[in-house]
Amino acid sequence: MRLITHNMLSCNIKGVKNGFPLKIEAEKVIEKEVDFNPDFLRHMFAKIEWKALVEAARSMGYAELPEDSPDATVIESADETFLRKLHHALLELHLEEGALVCPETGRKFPVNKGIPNMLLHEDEVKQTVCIDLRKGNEPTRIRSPKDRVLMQDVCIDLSLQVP
Amino acid sequence: MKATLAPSSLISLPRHKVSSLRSPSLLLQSQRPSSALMTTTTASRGSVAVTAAATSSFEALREGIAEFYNETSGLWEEIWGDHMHHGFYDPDSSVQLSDSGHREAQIRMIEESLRFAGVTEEEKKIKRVVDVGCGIGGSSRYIASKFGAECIGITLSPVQAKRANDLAAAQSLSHKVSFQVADALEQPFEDGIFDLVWSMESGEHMPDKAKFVKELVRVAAPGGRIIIVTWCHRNLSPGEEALQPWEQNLLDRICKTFYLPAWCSTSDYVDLLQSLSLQDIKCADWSENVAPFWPAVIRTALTWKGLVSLLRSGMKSIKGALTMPLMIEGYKKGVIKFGIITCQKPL
Repeated sequence: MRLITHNMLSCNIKGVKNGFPLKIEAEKVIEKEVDFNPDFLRHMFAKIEWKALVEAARSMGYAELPEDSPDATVIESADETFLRKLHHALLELHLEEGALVCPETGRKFPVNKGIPNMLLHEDEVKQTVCIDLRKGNEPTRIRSPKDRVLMQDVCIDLSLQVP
Repeated sequence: MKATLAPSSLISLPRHKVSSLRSPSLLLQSQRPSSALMTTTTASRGSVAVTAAATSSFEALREGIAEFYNETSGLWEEIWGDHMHHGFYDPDSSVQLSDSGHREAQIRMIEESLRFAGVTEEEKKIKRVVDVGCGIGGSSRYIASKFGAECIGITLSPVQAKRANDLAAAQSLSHKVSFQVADALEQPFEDGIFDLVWSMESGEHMPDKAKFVKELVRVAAPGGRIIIVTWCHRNLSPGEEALQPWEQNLLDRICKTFYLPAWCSTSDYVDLLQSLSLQDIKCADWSENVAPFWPAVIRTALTWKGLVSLLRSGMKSIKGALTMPLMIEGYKKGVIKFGIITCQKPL
């Protein structure tokens, strides 16, 4: 996982308000060279959450990025020193093994062979429950097609008679 | 009259195991022990019965989908390449296409979808794309290259994520695309970060269409576009409450082998998007444009190479292959539709 990806990932466990940025527990970091593409970096720069990137890079052992996000003149200038540092941090550092940690709950999302597993467990997901109303053994007719797809809330049809 | 209850207040309701439903729709048969949310008391005749649908069934479905694609992705890629979706063909094209013709059709499907959504004129604005249900990343890599954008793909299958990343590296696209294991119903992203939200033939796997659509909308940036291309069943007529039993039966048989939960119609998606106040909602029925696809897939399965690969790949692949004629039947009889639904999130 590279930091360009980490900069977008957040924790979505139910109830968590501040799931971004995920802290990094690095067990194995490797560096893979990538062709330098300043135009791509300039194109993407505005979308980067800077503090998150700086912190993440430090967790991966790279402390060359400035604390504060540089302004547009630095990005657009012909001097590519800064862009090269950005390039290295964003694209060339790979977290191969380790974990991403939710800043609010401490929950760890494992990273194996460079791939984060962001799947939530059963108890971390907002519960969705459906009710199938039965009279005897016959399922009731679904009242409208919308009922079949709208499963966020729990609905009970109170108009059915219970003998 | 309907009332809504918060899930927690249902804890004491009796649990009732569903043996079969007309459709696997609301509830999926649970193959695992029910979630601890429900206690067990006897369900009396006529009482309100509750099934532990969502959590444990969704987990079972999620695992089933992951295992299905873990097993079959390699086989698909060997024969069809890295796009795991239908090709787009001119209607009534009777020319039997070569392999490369079908691959071109798969690329055309991406281009036609982008064009339908009105995306092509806005290239500079697209910086970040999410591919929901990304397979081995064919769409992601294509779109990232096309727009010079960053694309992140999510899949339930670790095998697919790994292969997708390897292919990206091989194509020198690692700086632009990345893939992770995540659930489309719980996307691990902040709100509003993607200029383009792409779901190419993954919607049919989502057990909770409302939640699926809500997540797509949540992660879309203001002004961003959402493109859903998916298998649907035909729209119901006014007054029609459900599909005919024979139609439902056909879909049920397909659902089992492809790990699909309930089908919905294109109109259902439109309704959901309207309820979430999306703009510029468009939809189309592209069933005629994909008609050559399943016969072509079956033909490749019946080649010597196809059969050997199937046998090596495992039972899920074999069952999947045996189910393909049902897809053709479904299309021919107008039950199955290939739908595209696109919209834009308001600024």
